[in-house]
Amino acid sequence: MLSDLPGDEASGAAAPGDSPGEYGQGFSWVEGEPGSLEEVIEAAFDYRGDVTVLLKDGQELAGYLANRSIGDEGSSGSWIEVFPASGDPRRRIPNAQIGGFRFSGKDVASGKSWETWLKKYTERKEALARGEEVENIDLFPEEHG
Amino acid sequence: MWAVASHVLKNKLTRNKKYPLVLMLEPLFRCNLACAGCGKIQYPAHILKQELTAEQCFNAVDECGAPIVSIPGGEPLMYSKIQEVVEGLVARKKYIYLCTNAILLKEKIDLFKPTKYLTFSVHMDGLEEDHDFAVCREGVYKDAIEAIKLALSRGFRVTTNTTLFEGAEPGRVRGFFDEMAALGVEGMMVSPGYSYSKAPDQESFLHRDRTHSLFRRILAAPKKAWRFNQSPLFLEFLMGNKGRDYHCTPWGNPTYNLFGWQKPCYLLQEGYAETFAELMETTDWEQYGHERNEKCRDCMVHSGYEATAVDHTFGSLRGFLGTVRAVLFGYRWSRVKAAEEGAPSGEAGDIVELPVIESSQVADCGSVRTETKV
Repeated sequence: MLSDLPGDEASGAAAPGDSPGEYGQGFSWVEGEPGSLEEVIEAAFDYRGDVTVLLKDGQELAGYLANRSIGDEGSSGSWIEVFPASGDPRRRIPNAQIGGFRFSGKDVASGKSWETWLKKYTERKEALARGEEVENIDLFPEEHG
Repeated sequence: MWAVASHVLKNKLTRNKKYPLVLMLEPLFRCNLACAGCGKIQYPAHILKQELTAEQCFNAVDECGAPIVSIPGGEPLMYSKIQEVVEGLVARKKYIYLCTNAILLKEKIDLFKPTKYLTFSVHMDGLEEDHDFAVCREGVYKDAIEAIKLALSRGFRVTTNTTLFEGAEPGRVRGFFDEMAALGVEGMMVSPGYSYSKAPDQESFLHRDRTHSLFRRILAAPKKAWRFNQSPLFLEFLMGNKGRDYHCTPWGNPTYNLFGWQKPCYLLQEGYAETFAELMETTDWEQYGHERNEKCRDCMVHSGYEATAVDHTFGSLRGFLGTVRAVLFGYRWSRVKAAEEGAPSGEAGDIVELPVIESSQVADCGSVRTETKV
């Protein structure tokens, strides 16, 4: 399946292992670059956004990496499990078929929703203290990130 | 009580040391709130749109065999198959804790029939200002109170579930317990929050010593009206009773969701197994626990420790007598230390009510906090 996510956003990509913070949206890695496939898979598993799996046969699969086997490097039993962004059924891919990754989707756990809420809340309290009439406030889930 | 006791004793008799007590069934991750301390809902939109099928839920319940099924999420009242799943579990005589923020309860209540098997476990994070702040939306407390009153008037079983974070004020938490008792809820649950690495607010999770101190000050003199739907031994563990230095029982509350059986527990996500048997057989349980794993260091959450307390109660004479003593004479901890910390003493030694419903386990259901932080 070809990727259906817009843009690679690979510019400025860092090599794996530089620092944990480098595994953000836009990070990419292909076989042969510094770092190991297993290391990148662990980062992708921890990432709360979609990734694009670059398969050795030239196809790409965009989706959420929800699980992986933890086998020895190169083990034939090693695989990843991806929930495609297209909504297709989950797909299990042997590590041996993977040529690279792009962290293509937004990391929805890296946002500023807490700071946003605190700012709204503080502003409302200040408005109330000034005697102004203000409506109830909220932070909807869509604002995560 | 009998369902839990017989389940524990059956496993004791068969020398099965690792057995589930409460299945945490997460049929979806989607929620209508974005609480500060919750690390359960941060997924791409296409994942949030997905749900377990009813058949997947039933298979998980049958495979696991736990007598209690807790349905958190996400918000389970947003789950399209919630009526079918609840009816199927009632038919299986499973005790269900439907963990909800209650925003949709008035709208959905006609989907359900009152039965001893179904309890609405409503997230209540504290008094109105504390609760609305914690769930990042004003007005939710009032809606939840109305929904609780409606559910009680319709004959449903209703409990509350509260998670505490750094900054919680003991006096306000006690005041909150008073309000819930006055409402007439059947029982209350309280637990420190887990430090989800994906939660929006990373600065308010409690450390172990702070948890002991906070819970001593809250529970030092429990009022007669307070009814906790929890093991008294677990509450003593939270208060720092030296004889309750429990180890985590992560297999006590196995978790099943869209991704499979979650390793190793409800709170950590280190991988998934396809089957419950695979979860039990392939998880390296020795890696986990507050003394062995940094991620578990400060965890004192009920999903990990209440199963330990229940096992202690029904698995040993000492545990059973300790439970009876706590029920009859109040929680045991270091009273000197509590006095130094300013714990209330007015009703110390009052009788603590036995849990009135057949569980001591309910989901964390995301997370809540009782802090006002401006």
